[in-house]
Amino acid sequence: MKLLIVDDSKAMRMIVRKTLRQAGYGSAEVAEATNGKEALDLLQTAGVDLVLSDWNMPEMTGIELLAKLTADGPKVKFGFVTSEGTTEMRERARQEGALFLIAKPFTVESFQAALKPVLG
Amino acid sequence: MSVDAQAVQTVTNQVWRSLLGADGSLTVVEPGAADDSLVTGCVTVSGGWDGAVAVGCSSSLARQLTGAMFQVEPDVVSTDELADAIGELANMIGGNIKGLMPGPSKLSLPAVTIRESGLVLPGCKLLVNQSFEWGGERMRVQVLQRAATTTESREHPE
Repeated sequence: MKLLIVDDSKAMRMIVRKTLRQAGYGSAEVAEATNGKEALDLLQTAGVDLVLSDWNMPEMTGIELLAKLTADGPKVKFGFVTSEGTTEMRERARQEGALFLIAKPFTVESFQAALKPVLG
Repeated sequence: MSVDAQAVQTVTNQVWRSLLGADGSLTVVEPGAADDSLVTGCVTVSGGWDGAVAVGCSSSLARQLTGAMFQVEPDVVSTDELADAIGELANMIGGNIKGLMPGPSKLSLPAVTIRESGLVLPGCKLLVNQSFEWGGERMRVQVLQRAATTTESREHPE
């Protein structure tokens, strides 16, 4: 299983990695990208089972990345890990095709609840 | 929707606990002269609500938080790591405060000021850092550029 963490904060990418291990996904291969554009470039060449993306990033935001993937990019499961968890953001994420939105601050349990239906 | 001190306490404690685990319990105190904000992270919100959320703390506390987030000793954290961690702290608290305000709104990327370094924008490089003096007092002008726009930094995006 290969996961892609997309976040412009290196500290947050490390915390998401740690939380994935604690949530039971320690055996997954994890790649990282610092913004949506970098993630899009990586996804053109690398097969990924699930993208865990921040929303607010420089160069290309998470929702812009999801829109590009939905329109003409490689088909990949996609979820948000973001500090913006309002009802309207969740609805917009769902409309664009996101499978879940984990709001920061998160817990190991919130990761498990979001990932289990997607990854098993 | 609006925000009061109670809401700020709740949001900040939730974020702090998530970053520091069992050690993450903040005590609420009255504002005072002891506030030593040498490191400040800030995000702005524009749209249904226009404003800003800033998080300031001492250099020592910023280093302890950064060390916890990067899983290194506080005395070895770099300026970039400090800016990354405090910027993310501001982003998390600001994003949650934004959610309590009228929307829809847009959250900015974080900006961080560190007394020794001035303004640090996570992911940006300092193009020019020019100091001036007038009447015995110093002033600084900084020009920053997002690192990903240069070939060199594409190879080293951190």
